[in-house]
Amino acid sequence: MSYPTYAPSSRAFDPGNWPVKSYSSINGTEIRLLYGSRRTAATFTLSYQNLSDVEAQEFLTHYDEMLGTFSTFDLPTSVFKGWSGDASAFDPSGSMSFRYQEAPKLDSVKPGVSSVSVSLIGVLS
Amino acid sequence: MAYYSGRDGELLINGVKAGKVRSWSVSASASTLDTTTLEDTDRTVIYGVRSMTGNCSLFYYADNATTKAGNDASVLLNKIIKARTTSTEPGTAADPETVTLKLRISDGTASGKYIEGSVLITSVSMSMAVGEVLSADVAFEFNGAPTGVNI
Repeated sequence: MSYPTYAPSSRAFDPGNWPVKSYSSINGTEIRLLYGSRRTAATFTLSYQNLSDVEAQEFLTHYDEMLGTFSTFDLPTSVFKGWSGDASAFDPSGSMSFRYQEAPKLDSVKPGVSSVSVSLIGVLS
Repeated sequence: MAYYSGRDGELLINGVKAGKVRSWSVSASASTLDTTTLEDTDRTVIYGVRSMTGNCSLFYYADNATTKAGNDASVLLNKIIKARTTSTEPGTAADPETVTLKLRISDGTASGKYIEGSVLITSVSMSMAVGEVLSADVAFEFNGAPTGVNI
């Protein structure tokens, strides 16, 4: 099963960083070593408000199929809905896959209706 | 076709017609849940939960001048106003009680038009003034959906 294709109600994005290691000396100077050429560890925090329980269940099923935070997957274009810029801004190298940063949070709103929030982190492949 | 006016209105407290009712009103509302997603240009919603509230006003009236008994404002007032359980404990009194109200419109049929349900009295107020008859204003909220509706 692929990641559910519902448009999120809200999306928060953190672009992450390049793999940089910094060393500070005692006199205050800093040395930075760049260990890679691609940005990594971007995070998405997505919320899906007031889905039907059946739709919300798809996130739990997908989380199980990804073995929790273990497996990576590609994001559907629905995640980027409402963004009028270039979707490549989220992943300039085009080589980032995503995995769950933590388990999806499910809030039951009323009988048959639930809200889901998902936190994803990008990893280079 | 028929219009209805105040003379067609009745209020039943626990199944018994209340005396000297000045007015009643009822309001039903439903909350909405936002289902708007990114890229939508207009807010979309689905139904959330419903609620019903109401008000009634009754003259403070005693059917029986001797016993002061009757199905009137006093019945509703006593559902929420309780004396302390023991005189030495000011913070303890009996719990307020629920009551069954039937807001009825007499339309010539046996059952009439009505909304009936278990309600919680949420506020009562009385004011005494020179030149006015003492009355009680009572606000209530339905506990769950009405038990009977014929409107």
